[in-house]
Amino acid sequence: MNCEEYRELLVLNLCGEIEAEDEVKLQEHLEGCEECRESQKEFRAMLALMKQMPDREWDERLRIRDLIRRNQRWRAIVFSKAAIWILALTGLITVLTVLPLRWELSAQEFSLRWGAESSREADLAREMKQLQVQLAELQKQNHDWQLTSEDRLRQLVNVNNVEQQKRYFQTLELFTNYLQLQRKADMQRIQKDIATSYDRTGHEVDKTNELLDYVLKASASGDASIYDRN
Amino acid sequence: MDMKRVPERSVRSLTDEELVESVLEGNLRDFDLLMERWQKPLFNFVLRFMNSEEEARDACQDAFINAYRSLSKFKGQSKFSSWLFKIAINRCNTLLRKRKRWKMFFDPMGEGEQFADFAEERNVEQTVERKQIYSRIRRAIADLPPEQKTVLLLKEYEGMKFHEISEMLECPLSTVKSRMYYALAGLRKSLKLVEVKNR
Repeated sequence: MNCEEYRELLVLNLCGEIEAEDEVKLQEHLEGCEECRESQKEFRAMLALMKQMPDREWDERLRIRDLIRRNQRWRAIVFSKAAIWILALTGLITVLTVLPLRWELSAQEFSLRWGAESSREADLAREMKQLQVQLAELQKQNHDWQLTSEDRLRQLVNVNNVEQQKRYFQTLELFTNYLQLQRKADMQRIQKDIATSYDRTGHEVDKTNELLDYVLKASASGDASIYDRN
Repeated sequence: MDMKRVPERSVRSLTDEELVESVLEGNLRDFDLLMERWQKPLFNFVLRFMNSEEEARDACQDAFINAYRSLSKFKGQSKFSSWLFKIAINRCNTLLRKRKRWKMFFDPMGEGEQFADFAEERNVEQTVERKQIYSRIRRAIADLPPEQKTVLLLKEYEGMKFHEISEMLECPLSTVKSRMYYALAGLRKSLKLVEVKNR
């Protein structure tokens, strides 16, 4: 074993915690190692000096007791029931003020809604405009197609080709069926859009229902002229 | 509550752990007894650790206040004194970290100047010389790395066994022993340097 391996034993010996067996081993090493012998001597002298160093008197019981009491009083105030209630209420009021919540009270219902009012109105107007544009476009397509087909029919009658007229009517029937189906699908989509947007905002429900009625009637009859009245 | 208390003389014969129980039961005055028992050893330990009276005072006060506040967490698995000293050591380490941060700007200990004052009065009186030696040792201990001086102080001044220190600091026994060795070696080195300087 080299000196490093005896360090632990040296420390144990100096502190009086060495086992008898280890002490013999250490003594054997110390006899042959001047460096370790010197270390032990110096360490022992240092420890003796350290032990001689006088203790300082210190009594701060009164001050500590006072600090503890003050601390307790402060904690008692902070954690008192009243303080907790005040804090909770303040927090709740802050949350209600800061969050974009608004409540509405009408004869029928009370509702609490999320989101700022002004932007909701703007959204509604924009959505309505889009829907109106879509409806108008559909109306125009329908009208154009009717005009074209009537024109074509007139031409065919003039030509007086029965076979051609027959084929034309067959095609026209198929095409009409197809268009009706397509229009129905479009109407359903628009209905759904209107229903969703109004359902979300909860406004002008009666007006929506009225509009829906017309849309439903229009899609059922396939009559585009019904739009003109509204 | 105080009516139920046992007479003063028998309270004094209670162990630390029994006193803790009593404090937890509501006999707050018994914490005074715990303070009375441990304030001097704790203060001297912290003073040697920090080598600054002001910081030692603060650390001790904080340690007692923290101990009082978290007394319910003391489960009696270790001795009350070990638990209290551990709180104080944590506080000292925090203060040392703060001190290190500010060392770049100024010397908070002012110990250097104190040291110089003693040096000027050398050979005047034997007591002064003694004081000077102690001051050197104090400074040398304070300059040791925190983990080394913790072991050295607990061992030499609090008379704790190595296995107790190992349990308290939650580190292996061999680490504690080697910290002790390095603390002694470091102490020897810095004391020798002082000797050379003064020659």
